[in-house]
Amino acid sequence: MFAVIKKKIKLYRPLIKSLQTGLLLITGFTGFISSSCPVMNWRMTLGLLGSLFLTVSGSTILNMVYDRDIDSRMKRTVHRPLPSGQIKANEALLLGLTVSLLGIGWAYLLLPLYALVIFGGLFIDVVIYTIWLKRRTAWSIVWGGISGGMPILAGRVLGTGRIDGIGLLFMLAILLWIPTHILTFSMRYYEDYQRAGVPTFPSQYGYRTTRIIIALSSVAAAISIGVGSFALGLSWGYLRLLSVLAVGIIGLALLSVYHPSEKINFGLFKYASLFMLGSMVMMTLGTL
Amino acid sequence: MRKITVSDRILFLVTCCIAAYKIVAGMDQYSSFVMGFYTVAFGVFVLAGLMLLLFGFELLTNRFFPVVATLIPISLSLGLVQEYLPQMAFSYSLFIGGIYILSVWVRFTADEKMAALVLALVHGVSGLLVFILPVVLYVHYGLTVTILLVSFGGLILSIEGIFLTLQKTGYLKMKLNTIFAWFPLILLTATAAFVGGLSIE
Repeated sequence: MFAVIKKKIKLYRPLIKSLQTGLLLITGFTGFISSSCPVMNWRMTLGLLGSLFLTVSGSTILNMVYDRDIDSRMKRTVHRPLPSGQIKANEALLLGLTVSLLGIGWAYLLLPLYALVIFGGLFIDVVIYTIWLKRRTAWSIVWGGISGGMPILAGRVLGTGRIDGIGLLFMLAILLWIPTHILTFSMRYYEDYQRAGVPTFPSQYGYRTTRIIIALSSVAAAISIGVGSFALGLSWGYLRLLSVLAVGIIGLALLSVYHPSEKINFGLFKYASLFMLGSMVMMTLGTL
Repeated sequence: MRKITVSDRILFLVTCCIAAYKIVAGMDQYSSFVMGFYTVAFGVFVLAGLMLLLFGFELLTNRFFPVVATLIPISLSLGLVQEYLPQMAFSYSLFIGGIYILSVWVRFTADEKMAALVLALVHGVSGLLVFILPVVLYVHYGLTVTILLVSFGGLILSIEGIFLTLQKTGYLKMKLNTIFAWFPLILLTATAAFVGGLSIE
């Protein structure tokens, strides 16, 4: 029995994209801590992390179920458990729905408004982004961005009990950061997306326009995070460091426009993640 | 080209953390100008560490790398002059700022030799100041011995930089990979020395 459970967990683990889920959990935690909530409030902190983990994992599994045909046509994703036939679609669907419901149920017990926000994130991600728009338009990433911004807003809502301006500003920062993250990725795996028939910015508007959009969104994301951190009352020390990190992302984005190369492109993709992680760590440490 | 190893990555990450700590928590005692100059200097350390983590040692051979790296001695020297020789701050800022702008302009317009010459001038003057000024402050003005850490940091970073330049121009027969192998440790030591040396009240 124990061996079977262990085998199943090993099989299910790739379904939840642990790095992406981890980054979203960190943003949610940052939103929560930013409202000056004590981290030692174990019931709320564990509740936040647990419910967010379950809901984000649930939505990722549901996305994988729906996108299994796309995944089977892309080199990067062909070995995932669903396209490779290691897990049946019905089994994954049941798992995704169960995990999502558990997450939202747990969230409801903590605070109904918080549950509503994370349900909104799940609905936008699975229904609007994946099912409705992803195969129709490259602009679907805007909705992907909104759902990506929901965890930080949810964390903030759980801490303050309401939707406030700072929470919305942080959500906007994530929304503006998403194009840097996703578009650099879609340029790197251009052939894969073409093969799968998924419309992307590089295929619809060309590489140069995509790079300009990445540069603009990097600048906008850096400004939003800066304004949000200032509004939060972060000390000048943290704001100085944030500015330094912002110079890095803006510099790389400009470099990718004027001296485009695959190396710069993928470097920007990785730096964008580091920038977001660094900003979240600073906001957390600065509020503690 | 030497591939970046796990220990290199750890050293670069620690370098970033030390420089970031200085920017966040170690500047409250300075005036706004000094704070600004030191933020640029340690900011370059943070960004250099992160970029080296992502791009590896290839970054060091990029032709624009020296232009950015020169910001370290320039901003450190400007901070030191502003802090300890405020009567000279304006004229020094004009002088060093002027040559630096010239060096950037020459980098885009003139040939490689000319660009290297102008950059060597600005790098040399500011680097010497970072090395000598703390010694003078210690010997003649009674500052605590820890200020000499700034000179030490400047010295080891300069030696690495000179080795790299001599190797590139063919005057040094040492392998590039040997210079790169020492770079993460030297960068970390220099950063820690600058942070330690500039942390005195």
